[in-house]
Amino acid sequence: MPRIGIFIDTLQGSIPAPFQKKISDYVKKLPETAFCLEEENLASSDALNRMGKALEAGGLDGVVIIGGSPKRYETSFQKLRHSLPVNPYLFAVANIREQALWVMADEETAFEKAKAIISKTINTISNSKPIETQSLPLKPEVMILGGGIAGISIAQELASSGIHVFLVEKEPDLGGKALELYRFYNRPLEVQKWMDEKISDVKKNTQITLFTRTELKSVEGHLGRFQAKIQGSYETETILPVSAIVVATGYMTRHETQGIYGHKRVAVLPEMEKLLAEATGPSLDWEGKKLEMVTYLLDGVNEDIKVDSINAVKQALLLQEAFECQVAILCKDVKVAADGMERLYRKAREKGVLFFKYEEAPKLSIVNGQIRVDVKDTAAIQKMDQWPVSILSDLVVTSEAFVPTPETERLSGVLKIHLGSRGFLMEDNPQLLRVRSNRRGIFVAGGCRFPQEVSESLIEARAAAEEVMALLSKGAYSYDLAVAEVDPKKCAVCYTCPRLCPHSAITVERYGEKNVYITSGTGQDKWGAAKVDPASCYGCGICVAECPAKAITLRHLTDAQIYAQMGLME
Amino acid sequence: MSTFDPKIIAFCCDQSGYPAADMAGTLKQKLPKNVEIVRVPCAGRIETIYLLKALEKGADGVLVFACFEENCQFLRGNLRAKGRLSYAHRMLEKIGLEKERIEICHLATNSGAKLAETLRRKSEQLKKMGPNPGKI
Amino acid sequence: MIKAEQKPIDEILKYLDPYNKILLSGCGACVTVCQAGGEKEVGLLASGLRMARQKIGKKLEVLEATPARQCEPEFALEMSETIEKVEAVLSVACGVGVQTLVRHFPKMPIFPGVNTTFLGETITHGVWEERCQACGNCVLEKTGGICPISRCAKQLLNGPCGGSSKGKCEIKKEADCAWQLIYDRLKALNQLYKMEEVIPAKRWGVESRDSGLRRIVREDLKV
Repeated sequence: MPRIGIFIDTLQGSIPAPFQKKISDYVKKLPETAFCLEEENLASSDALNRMGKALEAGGLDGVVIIGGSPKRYETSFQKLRHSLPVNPYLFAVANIREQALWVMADEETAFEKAKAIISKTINTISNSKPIETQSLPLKPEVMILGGGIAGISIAQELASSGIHVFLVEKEPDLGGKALELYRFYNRPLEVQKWMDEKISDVKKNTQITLFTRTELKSVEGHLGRFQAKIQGSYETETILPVSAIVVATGYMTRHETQGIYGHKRVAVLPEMEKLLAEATGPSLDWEGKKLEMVTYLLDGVNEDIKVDSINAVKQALLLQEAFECQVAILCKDVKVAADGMERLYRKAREKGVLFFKYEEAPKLSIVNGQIRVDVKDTAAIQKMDQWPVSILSDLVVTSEAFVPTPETERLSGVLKIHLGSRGFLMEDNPQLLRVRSNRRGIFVAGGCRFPQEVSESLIEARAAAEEVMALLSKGAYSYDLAVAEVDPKKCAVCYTCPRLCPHSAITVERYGEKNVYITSGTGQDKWGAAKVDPASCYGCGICVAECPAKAITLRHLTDAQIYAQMGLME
Repeated sequence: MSTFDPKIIAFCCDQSGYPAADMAGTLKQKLPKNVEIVRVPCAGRIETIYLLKALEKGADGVLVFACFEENCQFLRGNLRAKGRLSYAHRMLEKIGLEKERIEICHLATNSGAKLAETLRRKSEQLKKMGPNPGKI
Repeated sequence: MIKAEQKPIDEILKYLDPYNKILLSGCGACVTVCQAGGEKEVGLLASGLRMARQKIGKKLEVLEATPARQCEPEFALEMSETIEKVEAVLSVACGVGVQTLVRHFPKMPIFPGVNTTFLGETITHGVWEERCQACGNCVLEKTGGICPISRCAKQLLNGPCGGSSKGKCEIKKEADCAWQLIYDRLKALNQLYKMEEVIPAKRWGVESRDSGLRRIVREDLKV
């Protein structure tokens, strides 16, 4: 007969006194009850202290809290400074307020329901086992893939907080796509000078080990114990043991060069950027002619990506203000959802940049060596007032298509992280955890996750650096062993669980003896049974349910506990 | 038949169903009496055998409350759960039990009213269908 | 590995009609991997059988067991005690497993719960495809590793038939023409000369399945 300590939480009167008395009388008569204490607000720190004292005497197999939702108690327990004398996994909550008192037709039924919930909950405790906490030491060593603006910024921030960084770049030089930029849209800085400073700092920084002309070949292991094999020029291979990995490999662009898009008077934004960077006089020349009318044609591809819109408005303002040019920008939608963009757009309009919104794609044709752009201006509300407009341009600047770099797919396989829509790397949760990948210890930042403007990349780089620092700052990762566990004797090595784990936390490894796991990457054979890495497991239970040999258990929610919750005899 | 109160097992995932059940309580929605709420971290934890054993061991119906597709915090748990439900449906059809006895309902944390309505609707539906003839 | 699919449960119920207490025995090897007869499937099938029989008022008691394999004498005999307690055995192992049990329990009715379908490869999770038909004389060296017996609907040994069109088979339109695959593969390996070597017709009645029950005997291994 298990001995259970019971606490009744009246939730500051939510559970009315007469009801609470009936519950209390019922509970006190149960054979399992070791004691039954009442509190007005169990989630308060005073009450928790009293609870701690009551439990110190020991001799209990578990604790049942009768009150409201378990989520309420879980959050308040986490705030406790000192832990309670009973293992947290031997606690169970009988939610009689939300599941009985508040939702049953009358008080009589609610009382019956409450009794049933309480006895189910006591039954669950009998099937519970204590679960220990483990600590995984984390060395302050991180690998960053990609030496573009995001990679460099993350490297600098991590290095300044004492973390050693391995920065791996596949090209001979650092800089990536940002090397195409001349000016920022929202700061009065010249990008190249600013980049040069950052790059020289990275090269001098003793906390950063730089590998150029190097690619990632394979990664073994999990959070805290990644073994990354990189290959440099002349086939030199190095194994980097790192605690975390940040992927900042950027994006690529492609543009149409067929037909009229191959004409010398049709260009793309980076070419205009270069022209502006090298400009000397008060006006600009393009293919032997002074530029007086420049038309931007945006949103031809990638309608929802802001990068080209931001750079187009920035360039247009510069052309209009400093280079005696008339600029027209044709777009499906004016995208101003970026820091300072509304102001920039307004300034551009004040300086005379013309904006045309179109629905049908504008037509380009060659007229006397110039490009004629025909567009229907949809600014007018009445369709019949929508004027067809013809612009004779000296230069038409079009947007490029943003695509993942060719090795993104291979990297997603090597790192075992997911690809999202369009083939970029997928984040864990776009609203909250944008820089985390689906795998604990691996982060994604910048254009490789979604093509973005440099300022946004810098923000993501900052966020990724903060995440890494938060992870490594304590020197260890603490976690409860409330995770999935494979019984190697039953495992049929069918590879179902490694395929289905959404967090890539399962690999097939060799077991030395029962309960002695040989870490991968140490040169030993890999064959034997599946193994869940406890520090990388999120405890979702998908593998447990999929295993055809029923070889996996979820330590904090076993079959027996679920059947107990179902209130059915097993 | 008028005294038949169908027993429903409601699997509620921690990210949607369970908070919705709490919210149903806060909204003082009325739930059918004979509902057992089973809390799981993700709908992906729900094994097909639980769905069948629930019916075998005395339930008249099973409802799975899971997140909307593409909203699973563990990326694919709710999709795997759907696959398991379709396995269970195929078996129920072949053995002559109504496949409506097992159903999945997608919702979010703020769907307290939806959860309560779904449970009440299921209870009514099961009352008309009658007790589960397969329960042992 | 051997791939199998569960038989429709209504067919199984017909087999079990005369009995009231059975053992449902799974297998921890091939049928576990192709999700047809492992411990998980055994539990599901047992539950379904019990409910189906409950519904018609003829209770069926189902004992469940999943040995590591069913095709070794020792594994079969391990279940002797349990088998003595039942009236029949439903085995969801492959046909080999069923017949191993038959040989060791000659007086006990043993029924198959799965259809053993083919020897196959996992293409991706949940998708399996036939790769081998155990012809007994493997020609894979001559065909770049692609089997013309299992992958060609006509089991041709020397090139495609006239129906091969755009790399697809005329018998099964979704299937790739095996000889197209063999050609592409040998070309990639720079071994196209192998296609000019004639593969003689298979002697089905002499060295293959039409020769009668096949047996392998290793005198050096026999105890």
